[in-house]
Amino acid sequence: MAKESKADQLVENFEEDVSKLKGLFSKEEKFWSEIKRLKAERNKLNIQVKELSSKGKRLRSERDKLNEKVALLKKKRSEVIQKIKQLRDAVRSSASEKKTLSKDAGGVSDKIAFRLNKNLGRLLCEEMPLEKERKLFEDTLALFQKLDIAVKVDELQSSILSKYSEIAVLEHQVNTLSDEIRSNAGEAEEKHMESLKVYSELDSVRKKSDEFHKSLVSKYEELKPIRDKISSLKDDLKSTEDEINVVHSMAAKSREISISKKRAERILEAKQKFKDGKRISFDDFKVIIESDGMSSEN
Amino acid sequence: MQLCGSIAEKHERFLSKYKQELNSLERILVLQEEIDQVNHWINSGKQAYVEKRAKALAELEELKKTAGKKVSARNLDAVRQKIKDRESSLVYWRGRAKGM
Repeated sequence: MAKESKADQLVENFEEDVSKLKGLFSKEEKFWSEIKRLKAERNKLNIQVKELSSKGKRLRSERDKLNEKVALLKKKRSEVIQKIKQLRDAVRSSASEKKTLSKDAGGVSDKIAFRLNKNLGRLLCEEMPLEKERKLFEDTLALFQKLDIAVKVDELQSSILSKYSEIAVLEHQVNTLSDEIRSNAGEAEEKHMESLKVYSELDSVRKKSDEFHKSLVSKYEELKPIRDKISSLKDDLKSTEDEINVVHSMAAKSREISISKKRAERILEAKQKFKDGKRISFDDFKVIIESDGMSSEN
Repeated sequence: MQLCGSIAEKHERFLSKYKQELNSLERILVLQEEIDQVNHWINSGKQAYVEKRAKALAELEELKKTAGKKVSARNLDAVRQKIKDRESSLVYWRGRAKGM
């Protein structure tokens, strides 16, 4: 009777544990579902982080390249400006020299050349007194010198005009370079602002991803005692099951012994009746026959 | 200096021209004297000089074409003065050409 009670108690415990286990499984499933969701969110954000990081790097690289280009263009523009300055200085110097020489020449080269030709014509063709000729000769020599100076003035003027043309070309270059610098610097600024935006977004997404990861870790931590409990309950159930099996086995054995004992007593009783010559029933007779069979089998 | 040389050459050309002119003028003068003398001889009955006079007249005509001037002592002096002036100029310019 005590054994039956123990078995019942064990079964009751077992069922109670099973019920607890079901509850825990349900709880665990909810956890796993939440973990799955958190993991999916975190991974989705991690992909975004990767994409944003890549985009940010690309933008910074593009910005840096543009800034390098701007630096090169500025250097080139500076060189051109320096060249313009040198040319302007040269123009000023030539203009000053021209002014001085123009005074010495006392006229433009064409007029001096005309006068010179006239003088030469007279000197080489006309007849005149020696003194007049000498004076004309001296005047002509002076005109040769003046013509040299006037030619130098013309050369300076030509050089000044050439330099002005060169300056105009270089100023055009400076304007073109400035436009290019503005355009590239603007583009670099846009890339910079865009990269800042991307990195800000990246920071925000990374924070969200970290939060999801923390929640995930937290969920794992929360799940651990449940899983431990499940594991422990599973062990308990196994142990209880084993114990129930032992109790059931023992009960079966006990019942078998009891049945054997009752049968032996019945056999003895039937055999005694038979020995005593008392009327025996068909069942008694069957018992005696079977017991003999059993005796002969044994 | 090349210009001095060229001026000297101009004077040489003038000098050559005036010398030639002077020669012509002097020849004209001589021919005129000769014709006067031959005329005198012809008028004195010496007919042998007729041919000579014709030759002298022909030469004189030819020279007058090129000289184109009335022959006079004044003209001769003027041409001589010109030669003198050109020579003097020529000396100066040659010297200057060498000196410079």
